[in-house]
Amino acid sequence: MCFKTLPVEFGEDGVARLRGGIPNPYDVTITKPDVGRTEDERTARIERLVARNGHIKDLNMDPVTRVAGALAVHVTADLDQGAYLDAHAQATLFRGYEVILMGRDPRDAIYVSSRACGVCGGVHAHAAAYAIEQAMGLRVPPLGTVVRNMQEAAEMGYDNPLHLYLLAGPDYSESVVRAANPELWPKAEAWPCPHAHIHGFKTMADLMTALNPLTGRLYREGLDFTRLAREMFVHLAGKYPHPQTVVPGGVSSTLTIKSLNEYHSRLGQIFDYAQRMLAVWDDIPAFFYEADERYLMVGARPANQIDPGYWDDPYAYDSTYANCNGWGEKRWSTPGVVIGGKLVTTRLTDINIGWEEFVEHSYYDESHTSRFATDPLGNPISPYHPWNKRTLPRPGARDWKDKYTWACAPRWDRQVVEAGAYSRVLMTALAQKIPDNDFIFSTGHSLRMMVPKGEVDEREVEWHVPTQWNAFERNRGRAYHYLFSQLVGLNSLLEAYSLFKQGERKVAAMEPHELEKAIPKDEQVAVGWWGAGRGWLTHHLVMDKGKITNYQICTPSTINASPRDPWGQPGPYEEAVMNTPIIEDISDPSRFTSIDMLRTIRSFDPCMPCTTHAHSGDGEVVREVNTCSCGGDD
Amino acid sequence: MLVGSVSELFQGDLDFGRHVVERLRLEDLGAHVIVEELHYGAVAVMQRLQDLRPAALVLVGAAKRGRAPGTLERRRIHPPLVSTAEVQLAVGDAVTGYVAIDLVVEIAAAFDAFPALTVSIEIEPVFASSREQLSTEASDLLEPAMALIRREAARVPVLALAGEIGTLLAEDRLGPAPAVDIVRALLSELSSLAEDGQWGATFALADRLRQAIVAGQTGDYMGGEDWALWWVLLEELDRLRAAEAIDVAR
Repeated sequence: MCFKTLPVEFGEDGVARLRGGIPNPYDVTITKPDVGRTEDERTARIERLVARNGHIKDLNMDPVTRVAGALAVHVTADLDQGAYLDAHAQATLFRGYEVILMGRDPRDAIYVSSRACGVCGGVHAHAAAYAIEQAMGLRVPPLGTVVRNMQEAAEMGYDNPLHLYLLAGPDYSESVVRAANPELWPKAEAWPCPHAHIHGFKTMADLMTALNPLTGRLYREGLDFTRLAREMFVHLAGKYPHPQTVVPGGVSSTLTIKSLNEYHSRLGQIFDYAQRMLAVWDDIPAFFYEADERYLMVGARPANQIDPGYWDDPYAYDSTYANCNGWGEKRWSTPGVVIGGKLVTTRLTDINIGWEEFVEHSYYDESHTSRFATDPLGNPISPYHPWNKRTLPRPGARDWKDKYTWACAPRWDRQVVEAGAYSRVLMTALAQKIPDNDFIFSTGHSLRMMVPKGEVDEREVEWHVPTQWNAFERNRGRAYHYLFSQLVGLNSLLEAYSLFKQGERKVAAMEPHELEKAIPKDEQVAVGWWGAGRGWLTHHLVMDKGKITNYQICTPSTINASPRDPWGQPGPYEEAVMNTPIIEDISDPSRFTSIDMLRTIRSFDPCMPCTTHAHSGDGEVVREVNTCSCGGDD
Repeated sequence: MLVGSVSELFQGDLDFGRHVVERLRLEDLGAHVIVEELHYGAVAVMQRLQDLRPAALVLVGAAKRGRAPGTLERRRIHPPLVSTAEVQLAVGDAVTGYVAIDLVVEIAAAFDAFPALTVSIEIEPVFASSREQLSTEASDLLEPAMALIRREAARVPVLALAGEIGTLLAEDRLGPAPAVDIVRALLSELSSLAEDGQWGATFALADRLRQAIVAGQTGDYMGGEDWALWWVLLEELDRLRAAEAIDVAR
């Protein structure tokens, strides 16, 4: 029984049903989660502290970008006690793709959603294709699924180093550490790296210097490896990041031995690099935890995570909702929900029916409907489920107690869960359901991986479920996810060679010109369960008479940047910031950099255009060049 | 030459570049011109520029810069002088999914991928929010923007020639001669052309150069490569004068 908040129970046939005797079981005032500290209690505490001393400050930060208003985090900080008392994540960029997709041919979703973001194009295209082929009942040929897996492994090969070395890495670089945490620098100079024999940096100071923006060796190397991964993607899909070859029922690429070999030659260069990456991101947390154990709490959150799984078994995947638990659990990355560190389900139907999106604190009108009481298998779904929810934008003034962001509040079983590439590693490690293979092994408490021989010898590495999830463990988990994804790419490449040897060439269920006639005219609901570089990605589709009648995209950053929900539970960014101690020296507030909060937010690998894909009437993005991205106000 | 749109899809006039490029793709701008979408992360765009190494880059899009809404402008862009911290901010924007002309410019410059001749053909948006259609004002600017790009495409070969001739002249190898002075003046005009898009005295100087050659005022040290480049330059200028229907007397 995976649900503890929603009144859902399971019959002997495995079908879920609502517990009887509860009127309006999805009413937010009736079915409520256990909430630690209520919003009123939090506010009252802050007011008490403000009354007692003058160290409490309200600060507005743009922790990610200098695009005005892209993501602002408003915090209330106690600079005397070094604590963030309150935090609100505010996304104020407007896109509108869900609204624009209404009434269109469902195939347009592949093209349109791909362009919702500058870095996540391929994953959106794939998620849309998955949703459409489920609605159409298309069975993807095994080689088509294998090519998709390879493409998406390559996309992770692009995304993960990009984040680790170009966005998060600089937070741990010599230039930043010397400025924001000068007390750490002498320690870094004297601290011998345990994995120096792998990454080549004798001391942590050497490693930090290699993380310096633009000039650092690790920074430049990360950039080079993103290029390699992009080339791998292009060899299969033609172009990156907005591929034209992703179609419902497979891919439209012309696959040749040459394209497989081109992919292979690049993949072969990655494994030595992956070993170095793991060594770097193993040593960074070790150093920080040893230097000051408060770093364990930077970005800390409970182990509540969710992921719909990724990369399909080419022989199990049949695209249907009816069989989704079967093919879902055979994914290379197992779907799952972890609550309080425990894996509570690996079934896609459970993940789907427990999913709701709330807008109490978002710039939308309440939009839940009762259009669908159940999923296609008869399992109950909420009025707040994406198939029932509409996108009804309503721009308004910012009010921390009311509406303050364009991100909605997705919740599973009315609990706050986070999403990340590392969630895939977590689910797969715990579930022990990974398909048999020579490289990746799930132990129930760790993920062991065999790194193939490159210029250096093969080596077995092991990722262990951390005792405390925090900013450092997100980055470490992302590094292990990089290797995981490339090993999925390798397994899939070997399968592609095998299929080729057998004479298999078919990569799509039907030719593109045949799709036109196959689009169903009756009402269909479907979901594309997929993943992005940042974790969870779903596209929920409702179509009728061959046109889209509702389209809901949920991205990992929507989940992580979510605001308070109807019960006052803060979203993952907000909660992680509130758990973060202010470790940097704040004796001179004018030199406050908020580095601890920046490390927290960036550890989620935020992607703001994806987050705020909803519509506004008159929003506008203004890029302020050469201005400071953060500032405090009393 | 690479013509690339830097657009935000379905965000009203911010999608201007895509509309332009989708139309231009149906045209033949010459074998030396590639037309592509560049509306994706500027780090990947920078890598694309490193792959292609185009002699010239035309970025097409919209940007809010305080001009009158509906303004169409050709901007010559020089590599900006930005600090490491500023570049890292740009990288942060690009890595988190944002698409903007300035991001492409700053990141390309920082990573040595900035083409020698870079211009933007951009509009000041009238409507910059979620909507499929362009504003009426922006729609009216599609054809003028395409005309500007066609002109850039036509002019790039002559600017490339000017660069080659300039390199040969830099050594002062040809000695003093009236024709050499005219060529220097001509190259100066072409440099201004790259900057502001205006021909200035270019064609008058081309005519004077031709007369100086006929009069044998070229000096004693002209080599085969010099003659070839000078004549090709004159022919290219004749071609452009006809194409752009420029009346020198005017």
